[in-house]
Amino acid sequence: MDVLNNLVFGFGVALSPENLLFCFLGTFLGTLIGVLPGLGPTATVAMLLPITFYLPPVTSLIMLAGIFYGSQYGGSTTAILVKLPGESSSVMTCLDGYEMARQGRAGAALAIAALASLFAGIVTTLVIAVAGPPLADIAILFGPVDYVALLTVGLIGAVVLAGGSIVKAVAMVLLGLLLGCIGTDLSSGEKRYTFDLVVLYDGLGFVPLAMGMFGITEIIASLDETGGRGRAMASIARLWPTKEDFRRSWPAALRGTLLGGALGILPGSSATLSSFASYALEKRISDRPQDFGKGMVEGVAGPEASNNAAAQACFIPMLSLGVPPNAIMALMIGAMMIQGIQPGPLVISSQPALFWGMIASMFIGNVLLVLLNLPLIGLWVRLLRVPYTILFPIILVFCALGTYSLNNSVFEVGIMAAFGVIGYVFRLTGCEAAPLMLGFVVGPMLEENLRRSLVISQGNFMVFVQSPISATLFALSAALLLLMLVPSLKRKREVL
Amino acid sequence: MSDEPNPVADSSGPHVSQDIVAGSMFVLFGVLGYLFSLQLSFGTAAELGSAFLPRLVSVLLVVIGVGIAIGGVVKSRAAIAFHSPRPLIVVTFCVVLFALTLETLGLVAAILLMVALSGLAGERRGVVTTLVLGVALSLTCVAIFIWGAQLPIRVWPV
Repeated sequence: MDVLNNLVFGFGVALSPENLLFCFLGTFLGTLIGVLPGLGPTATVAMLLPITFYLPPVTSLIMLAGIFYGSQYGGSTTAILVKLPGESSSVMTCLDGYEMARQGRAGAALAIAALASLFAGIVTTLVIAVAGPPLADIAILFGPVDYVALLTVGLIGAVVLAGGSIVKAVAMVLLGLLLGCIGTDLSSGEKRYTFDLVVLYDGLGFVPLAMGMFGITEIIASLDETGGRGRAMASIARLWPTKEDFRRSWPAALRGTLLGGALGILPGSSATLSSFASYALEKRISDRPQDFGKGMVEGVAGPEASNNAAAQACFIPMLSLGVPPNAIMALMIGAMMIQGIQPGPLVISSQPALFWGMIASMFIGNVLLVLLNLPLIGLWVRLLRVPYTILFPIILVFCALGTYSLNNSVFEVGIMAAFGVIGYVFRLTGCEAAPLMLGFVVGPMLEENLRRSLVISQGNFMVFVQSPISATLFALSAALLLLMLVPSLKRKREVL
Repeated sequence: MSDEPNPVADSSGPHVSQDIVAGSMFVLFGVLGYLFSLQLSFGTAAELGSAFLPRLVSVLLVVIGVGIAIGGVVKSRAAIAFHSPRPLIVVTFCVVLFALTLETLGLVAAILLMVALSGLAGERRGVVTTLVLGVALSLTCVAIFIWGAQLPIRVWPV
């Protein structure tokens, strides 16, 4: 049992006092910030990135993963208690979760959400452990040509499967690619878009960009939407769900996990997609579909299991291929590169402690999450009552100071402010920041592989349809784009 | 308006199409990207120069941007909706001020200034609340970043 041995090795890494501590800190801080209204997982990870840079690579990625699923879970808490989804993947949880809360069963809803997430998290982590290495073994055989195709499919898939306008998402990806060009071009040594500013020679900072477009933009938008006030909230009477709740929840959680795990490896906001799919499925097979939206526990268990499974499954392409399927994984890739690790299929074999340690820490983190959340729910509730007018200066100071502390660079704080403004204007015009982040991270990889492909083929662009792998992947990209022209699908997408 | 923002009400300002603004921004970025790539070498197919990707992307941005903007003129669906420019201006100014004061006035003063100014962004805070928040936040940041992480950041004015 190779996987088993490796898992034991991974637990050895993850259970070291330092890693355990930072796994705990990550899940705790992730939940803490994820619970705050208006801060979704992407913003939370972006905000806390600088803290992790001072840690050794394995520890920092363990902590980042913890922050990620902590904030994902924190989003569910706010969805249930205040009907305010931290991210689109918790939207479905609002429907029945908040309704349960209004009926005085907030505790039961939270507990079911936590347990369903735990179950889904553990199952999906096992899937990563089993499927990751073989996938990486295949990906090692990929040449630059195939990588160009793979990255293209990833980008197109992310755009097509995300919500909102596709055209705008494509434009945002392109803008991200353009921003990724800033800095010294590695193969020619020419300076691109640096305007003779030495600070730009190494390229636009990844952290100020992410913090600006996710953190600062979010603050401005929340302030404008609520005027700095808090929101009404349900109270919690009884924590533990009834036997009846359990009986109805576990099959829903199981179905949600399967659905989320399967859809999760798709690029784009697959967590959102699979929570919608799970909710629809539960409603369809239920014998009382008319009661959905009125506090059905299946409507919480299914989508919660599903979005958590999908969120964890995103790690598969990130870890085994080095291809980020969404903005959060793009942040993870960025963090890896800052730590000096080249993302790609070689990570698993060359950094076994990183891969297996991270997987083991996901098991631990998922358990910690439940242990942390159910007893501490009172704390999160109190946190939710803190008015935003007090909270946002705190977040603002941490963003600014966090960015500054990376390179002691005032300029980068300015960059963050600029992207806060740019991000907000784009948000007002219905353009999301996630595709831009994806383009920004993928851009340099895409360019390098494109160049290498064309050097090998001596400038023949036909090379991309001659390799069977790349031809298949390009056909897939084309099919994905064509799929969007199908009217019925287009309508469904606009609902998302 | 800024003191009593209503989350439900739409912008009372003029009807500005989302698509026209978004499209124009993409066109602007595309044009700038193209212009500033002119001094770079384009290279050949076998040896792509540093201008290849930027120019390709810029051209695509302009094309798509024009498409989005035209769509906005023809159909003109969603309008830009926001209540007040105040949060945008105040938050941005806070961050810029923080950046400008950090290296001269030091961390504590920069935080206190930022907290004080941030009160203008939304609902009013009392003087006492602001003071307590500023002092507590300064102390936390000094504890984490100076005592804890030992970063070389100036704490007090020169």
